Amino acid sequence: MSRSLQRQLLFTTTCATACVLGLLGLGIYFLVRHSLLAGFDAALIVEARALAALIEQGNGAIAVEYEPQQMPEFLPGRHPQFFQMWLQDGSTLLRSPSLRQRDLSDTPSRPDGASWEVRLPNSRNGRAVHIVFAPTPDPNHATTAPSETVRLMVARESGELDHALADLRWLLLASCLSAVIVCAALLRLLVSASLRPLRGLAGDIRAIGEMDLKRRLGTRELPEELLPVADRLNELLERISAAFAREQAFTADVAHELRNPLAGLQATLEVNRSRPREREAYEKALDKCLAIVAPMQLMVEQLLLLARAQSGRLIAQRQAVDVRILLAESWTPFQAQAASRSLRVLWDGPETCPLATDCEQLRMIVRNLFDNAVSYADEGGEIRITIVCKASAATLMVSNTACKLSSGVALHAAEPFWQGDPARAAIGRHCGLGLSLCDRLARLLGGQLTIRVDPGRVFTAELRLPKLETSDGGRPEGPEA
Amino acid sequence: MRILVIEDFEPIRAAVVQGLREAGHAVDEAADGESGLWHAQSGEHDVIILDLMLPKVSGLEVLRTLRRRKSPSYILILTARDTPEDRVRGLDLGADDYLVKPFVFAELLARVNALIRRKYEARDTLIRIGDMVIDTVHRTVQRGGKTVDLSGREYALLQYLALNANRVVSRADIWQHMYDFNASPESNVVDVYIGMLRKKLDQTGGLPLIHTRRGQGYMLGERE
Repeated sequence: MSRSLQRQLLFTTTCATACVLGLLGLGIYFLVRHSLLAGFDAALIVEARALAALIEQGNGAIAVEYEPQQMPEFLPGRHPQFFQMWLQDGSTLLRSPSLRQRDLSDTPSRPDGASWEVRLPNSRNGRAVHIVFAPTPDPNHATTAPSETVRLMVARESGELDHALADLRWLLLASCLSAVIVCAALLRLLVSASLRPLRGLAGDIRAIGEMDLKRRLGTRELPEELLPVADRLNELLERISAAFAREQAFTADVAHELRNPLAGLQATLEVNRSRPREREAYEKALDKCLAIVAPMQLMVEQLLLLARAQSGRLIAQRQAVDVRILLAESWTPFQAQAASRSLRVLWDGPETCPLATDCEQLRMIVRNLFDNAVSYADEGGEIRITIVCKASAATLMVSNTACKLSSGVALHAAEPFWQGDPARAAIGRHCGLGLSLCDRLARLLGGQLTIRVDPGRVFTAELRLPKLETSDGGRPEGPEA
Repeated sequence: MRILVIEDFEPIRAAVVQGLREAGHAVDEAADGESGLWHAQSGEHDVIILDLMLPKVSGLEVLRTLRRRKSPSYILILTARDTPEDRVRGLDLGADDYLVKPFVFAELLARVNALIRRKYEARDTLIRIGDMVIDTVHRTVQRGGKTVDLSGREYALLQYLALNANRVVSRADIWQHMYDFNASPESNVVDVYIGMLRKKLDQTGGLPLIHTRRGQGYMLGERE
């Protein structure tokens, strides 16, 4: 079961309110109880003092001037009061007529002025006080004998007081419960009103569908506590939207790059299948289909490689490589094409340039750069291959003349499926993945690929690679220029 | 009928040209927008099959130019762009049909034939002239209930005459619509094909349907 913030807030605040009101009720109850008991006990003490005043000492004996009729509350009756006096030896000096010769429970150890609850002889609950006093000397019978102390206990029914306290308890309990219920209702309204912006935000978030990523959360009326949440969510939506757009563009590019060769394949096969033909015609058609398939295969391989590089599944195995030798080997397949297009190829840099890098991945980068240069340089134009070998890094530059791109446009050259020619006339030869792959591989090798177009329409791809240790911990050998 | 294919991807262009030619059409081809525009303006093509992403001059620019110059050719866009926006833009600029790559060649052929029928205001795929019935879908001809066997070129000539039934068409018109740009014009080739066609149609014993108008050309119809 999902937890509701509103229910949780309501529950905790109501519990807290109930606790506060409960403590307050208890406080009031005990205050009133203490006050009533103190009054009750004070009245008993007064009566005890009055009784004590009736006891005198003279002639070595204690005289009691108690007349029951003068104090009718101690006579037997419906709600009588009780008293009993004890001498020091524990013998009873006097008891109230209401006791009918019975005893109050003696408690000699209690201090003077003590009060407590007691079970009365008539089996009712009551309160008792206890005083210890020395009887007043009789002025008519002065004596030198030491005065004897008398203990007096006075008790009275406390039924009315108990009823009053019980009523007070019920009243406070009912008041607290009512207050808790009223508070809970008020708190529900308050919590609900306070959570309204949160509910609004949740509704806005819920309303954002998977195909509605352009929608953003409104922040104008949000409380400051929710603003960071909405702002972060909006930023997240922005990033998701951009990622979706990139994915859609990528999918559309892949689809577009596959559509033309697929259409070529389908049309070639359908037309040649439409009627019986000579064997040579079929062979020609199959050759044509194979020629269409080869670039598609290359594109799929580049896509897979790009995906591996992007997901981090491609690992660079660094080993000692001489960049100059690798460049010379990689150039060999392009020599014939460069010659057929009358391209002038200029080499610049040291005779050797040792580097610790992944040989195959560097070869892939170099071949792509050479392929681009040979394909896009103008007929009879120039390709310049430059190596700069320093202590910390090696830089390889491949330039070709007659670039049709502006320097601003060339910034996008490393994006997947980007092509400088809007007509994508190089279908079947270039699909716009080469530089993107080079960029990824360069980063995998710890380097960087930079594309620029100089004012003289010279396109340059600059690959900068750091001179790291080989995978087995060694450094590439050789002179450093 | 004469068709122009403007497509830069050679395998598609070659297959489409071959298929259309085998279907009896005269086909010109161009690999970029510039030469495509030149062909379209210099010849009278019934249908132009136009790719959008072309080197030199884009397909949309070719389309815009042809429509600005009141070209009577029907234009079918054949492209890899498949979004509704692309289709709307192409059709709004004056294209008559839109087909997305990859495509089934039979569908392309059917669309081309439909455009040809639209151009000659022949809504029915069966053309009836007297006791002759031409099935433009299956490319068959019957006269008086009997099938007339025709070669591809003879059928194309008959279809052109039938689409212009009861109208005089000149030898130049026939040449323009039956032969592509690379064919070498021979003075009597049209007359030779007319003679062969007339002979095959009249073999069934019906009244002559192809009539010669001296100094003007030929007319297909029941009455001279």
